[in-house]
Amino acid sequence: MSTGNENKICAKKADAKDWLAEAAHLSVYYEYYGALLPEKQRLIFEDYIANDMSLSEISKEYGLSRQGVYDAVRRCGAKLYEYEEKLRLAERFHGLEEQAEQIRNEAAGIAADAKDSQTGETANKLAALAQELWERLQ
Amino acid sequence: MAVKIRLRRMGQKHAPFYRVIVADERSPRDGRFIDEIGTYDPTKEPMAFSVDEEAAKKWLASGAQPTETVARLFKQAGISK
Repeated sequence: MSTGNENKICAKKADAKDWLAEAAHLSVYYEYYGALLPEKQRLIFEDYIANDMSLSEISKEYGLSRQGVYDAVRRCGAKLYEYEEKLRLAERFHGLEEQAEQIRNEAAGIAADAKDSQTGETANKLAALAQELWERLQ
Repeated sequence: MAVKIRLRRMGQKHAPFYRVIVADERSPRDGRFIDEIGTYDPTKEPMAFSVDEEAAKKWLASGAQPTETVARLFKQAGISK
């Protein structure tokens, strides 16, 4: 089944002008949705993206054709784009993470400038909560 | 035994971060490597690539093969044999 996403993926490292940017995206999506990919494809994709192996190295490793590896990488990439399009987990978590960081910094600023101890204490508590939230999002 | 210069992903979920490592061709997955010569952070704008140029040149001159991705990064950084 075509997901319409295949065209977005240029799995050939040498061909993709913006391969580096694409690999960065895909590696983030992989962290979220990788577990949803079939085991074998997942391993291939991980080797390609995280271990920086070439198609021919992977094909030797698994005894597959180079074309077969290429297809698996493209299929995985398309799936990951599709999951992110539908679920937006990476985007949302990234937004939450940034906001938690902002809250932490604001609260730390208030704590530093606090004129009375109660304000300082409350601000420190807020900063600690924001930090905890940030850590949970990792 | 061929030696490769490749990236290895480290870092957290939202923050891919790569090390530039020198490793035997056959050990990409078990984590063993011979040398670590730099880092690459694609999340920075512009992306941050730092490499020990002397070590890179030394490895290239002694026949280590960079992967496509590393070759591209080296080229951008103006590193060749």
